[in-house]
Amino acid sequence: MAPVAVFENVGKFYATGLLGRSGVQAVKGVHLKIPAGIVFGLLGPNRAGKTTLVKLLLSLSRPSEGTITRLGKPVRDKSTLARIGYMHENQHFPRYLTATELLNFYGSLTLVPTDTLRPRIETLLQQVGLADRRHEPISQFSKGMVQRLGLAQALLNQPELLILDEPTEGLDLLGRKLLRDVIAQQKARGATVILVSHVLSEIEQLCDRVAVVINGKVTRESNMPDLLKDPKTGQPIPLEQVLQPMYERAAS
Amino acid sequence: MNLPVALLTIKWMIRDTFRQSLSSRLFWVLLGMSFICIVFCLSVSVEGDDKLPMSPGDIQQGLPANDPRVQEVGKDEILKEGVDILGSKLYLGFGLFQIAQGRDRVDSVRFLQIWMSGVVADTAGIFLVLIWTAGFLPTFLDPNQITVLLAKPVPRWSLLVGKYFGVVAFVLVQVTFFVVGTWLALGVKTGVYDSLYLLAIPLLAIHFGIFYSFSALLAVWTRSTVVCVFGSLLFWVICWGLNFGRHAIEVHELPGLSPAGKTMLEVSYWTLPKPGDMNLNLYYALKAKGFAPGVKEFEKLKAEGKFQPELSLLASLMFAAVMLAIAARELETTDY
Repeated sequence: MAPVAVFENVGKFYATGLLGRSGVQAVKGVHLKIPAGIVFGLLGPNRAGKTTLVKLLLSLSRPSEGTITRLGKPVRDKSTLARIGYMHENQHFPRYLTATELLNFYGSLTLVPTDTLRPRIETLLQQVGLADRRHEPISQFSKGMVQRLGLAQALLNQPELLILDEPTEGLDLLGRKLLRDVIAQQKARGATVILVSHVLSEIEQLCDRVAVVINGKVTRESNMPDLLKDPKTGQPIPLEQVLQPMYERAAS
Repeated sequence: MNLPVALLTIKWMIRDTFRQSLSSRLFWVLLGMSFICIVFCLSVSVEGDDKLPMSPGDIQQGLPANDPRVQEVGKDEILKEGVDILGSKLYLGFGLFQIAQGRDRVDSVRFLQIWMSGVVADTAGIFLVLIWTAGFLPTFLDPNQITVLLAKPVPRWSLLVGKYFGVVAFVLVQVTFFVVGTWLALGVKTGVYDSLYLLAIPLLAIHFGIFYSFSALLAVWTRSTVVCVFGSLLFWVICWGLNFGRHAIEVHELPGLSPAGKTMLEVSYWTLPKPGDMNLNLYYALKAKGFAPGVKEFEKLKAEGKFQPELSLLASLMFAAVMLAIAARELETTDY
């Protein structure tokens, strides 16, 4: 099966200042292939470049160098975005809309046909536990409820590729369970999930393959069972133990 | 470019902006201000001549109440001589204030309509609405708000254009409420329904739309409400100054001005929006001459045939289109 995303020698430089001469090299020389049908984890310390990779994949930013292919087409072809679901790490939805209105609005802009959209909204609101709050304005929602709504909007088009950027932020125990169930369901129906998270237990539990991003570079890419194996003894070790020396090296 | 998708997006963005405005205090504040003006119009009544003699063929029955001779000689003296004083009495504030008018009933009502549209709406109204709507676009363009929408398979420019037209549609609704409300209120109280006044609806909305395009560009560049408020107001004032200055120089033929300076002024005049001309267009559309004091320079320019209202409006609309195009291009290339 063809990979859902291919990064070839991708770099991103965010220019700052009036002349744009200074700035931040967010990612550099990234080569990455994300296979279809798996849960792929993007790991790394804060400001490592994980979200930048997601933004580049979603055409929210343009690469300074290299090429990116999304669902078999170059990222400049926006039509493939109709097959992608995206949950943002710190989403602020229009506070004046109700949950139903928001899903109608965002679903229409994801180009889901109206007759398909209506029943799907009902199902999704049930699934994320907001069915009884569907007519309330979002201004009355807690952070966790907004996250649930963000998850529902990412699923509106039954995506082939679901991108979840720090999805557990603000979610309670039940919300986290819901998220795990959704990821499992998506994988079961053949979709690919890219999960960006700091919650190692979830990454460990859910991901089939991970890439570790440090200082804008992919320093390690591996299947989860291989990553969780001590290279010397071959014994299983926790993810935290794998990552800690890598993060410490990067910090120093 | 996928036009049906762009049109669908614009439709949704207009709908969303309108929904946003309905939920904001701004909607009710503007509606409340219009309501105060409507109540003011309901407090108006006119007593007196329905129609004054206007042409030499009309039988002269007396002197208009605001004729200078009435002031000089005094009303009582004139009436003693058997000459009628023509005109109407305008009552404001449910009869609290009384103003003698050298106008007939129809013209007295038109006098009020011209002040309502020219001063209340076209100057104070546009000024306030520019301030109050300046936050719509920066809020929308905030990364946490727009990122998910930018990841949808729709052109970025259509999101911005939809939001822009949404705000213009909101202002159009407010202007319509104000103009139709005051028109009906004056009509109910005086029996005068002058449909010319309704022309103020499109002219005011266009005036706002032209300046809001500049606010849209500032919003894309800075995403700052403060910059949008002060930037667009400063720009409006500069445009007023340039517009007036150009006409004044055109009329008075300033001797010290170099040809290069004159060319620069001409280029600025034709490139930038012309709020003075838009006010003048409203003035002429409502046939306001004689009802409100005109600007001397503008009057003279018009008399000399040097004022081209259609071309002036077209140039201002072109400016808005260019501003919107630059803003859309900027959004297309902005990294989020």
